[in-house]
Amino acid sequence: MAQRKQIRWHIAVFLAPAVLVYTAIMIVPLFGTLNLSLFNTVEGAGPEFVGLRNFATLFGDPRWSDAFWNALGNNAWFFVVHMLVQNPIGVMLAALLSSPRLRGAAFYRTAIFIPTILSFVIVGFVWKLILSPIWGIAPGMLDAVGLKALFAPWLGKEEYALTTLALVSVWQFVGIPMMLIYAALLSIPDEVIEAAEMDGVTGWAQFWKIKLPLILPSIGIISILTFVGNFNAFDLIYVTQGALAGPNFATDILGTFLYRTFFGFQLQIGDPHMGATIATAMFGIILLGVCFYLFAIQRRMRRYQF
Amino acid sequence: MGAFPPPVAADGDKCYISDHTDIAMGMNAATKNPEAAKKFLEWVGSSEFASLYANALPGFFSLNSAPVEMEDPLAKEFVSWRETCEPTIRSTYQILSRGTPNLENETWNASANVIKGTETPEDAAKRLQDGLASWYEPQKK
Repeated sequence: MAQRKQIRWHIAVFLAPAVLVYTAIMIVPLFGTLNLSLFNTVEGAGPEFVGLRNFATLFGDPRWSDAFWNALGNNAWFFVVHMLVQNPIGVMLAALLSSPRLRGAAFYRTAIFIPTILSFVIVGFVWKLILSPIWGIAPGMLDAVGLKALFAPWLGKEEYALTTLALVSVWQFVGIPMMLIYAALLSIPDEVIEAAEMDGVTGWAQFWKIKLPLILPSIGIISILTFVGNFNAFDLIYVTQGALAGPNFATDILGTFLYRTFFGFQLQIGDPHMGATIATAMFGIILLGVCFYLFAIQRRMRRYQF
Repeated sequence: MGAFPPPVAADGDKCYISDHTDIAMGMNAATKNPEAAKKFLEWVGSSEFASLYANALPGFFSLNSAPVEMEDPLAKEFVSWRETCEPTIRSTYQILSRGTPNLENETWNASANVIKGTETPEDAAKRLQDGLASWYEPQKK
């Protein structure tokens, strides 16, 4: 047929709103940030193009690089705690919730999900009050069960503060993996489960051999969401410890380091250029992590179709 | 509630009280009402204002050269140390916090470390001095 192919305008029209909004609020600011990181102000003059000199300062000057590596290391630990605690507990809760013998599943589901919809400010402030050695209820509650000796000012000790905050964050967000895995478990067809039962695969063996392989893609998505969320985290640390991320920067993560540098804090004057440099480094780290996941893990993951 | 003056290293050493001499009020040179602004500033600088301010907000102390009579006994106790102690400034305000590393934020961190005992006062002071000397011209060697 020699008929000319019609231009399919409707594709452009339907894509336009999302493309325009996404470009205006995500892509343009992203390039603005990358651009900002290549400039710096000179005494008495306006911004001047400095190439990669800001990055040389960030990674070469020990005053900057020590803070950066400290924040990156803390961020990595923050992520490890989420992966080791939040996601396994989320999977476990989802497995329990999807058990047909459990009564009141809807109640548990709602109760466990509620912290997720609370504001960071409330969560941070409430936990700060609970854990306070002076007026918190944690020492009293531990005392009631005879474990007061275990109590320590967890948020004030350099060795515990970051883990404590990571666990608070886990407490808040455990509902998200739970919900996603719960949905994945519900979507497993009954025939598959019945076939497994016919073959004598029940209980724990059924979970490990039948259900877990089927929900692995969901676990992969949760891992990458956790990674991006953790490396962008800021609010909880800022609410509980302030932008100085005490004690002695033990809870300083990339988000608080960026905030302090970009916007300034107390008498510290904001430095948009070094701030943008840190933001660009964060962007690179997250990009690397997401690429690693997409190319090394997701493509090798086996999917089953029913 | 009581109060005690800042401790000193050895008995009989000179003690110091920090004053907020870094806070000031002025008049915009381009103001349309210079007379009214002058009048207001003169009143703020008067002993009448000093007495009103110090009594309405106990905890804030007047820097007025004329002595101010205060009613709050605790505030009186505070101000009595002016007779035995020397005044000093808030070292990190304003100019000394205009560089990187920021002296004010480093002082917060160093004070907490010293109080907790994780850093000796000498180490902390050296760290602050080194940080300041890295950018503040008069301190550069």
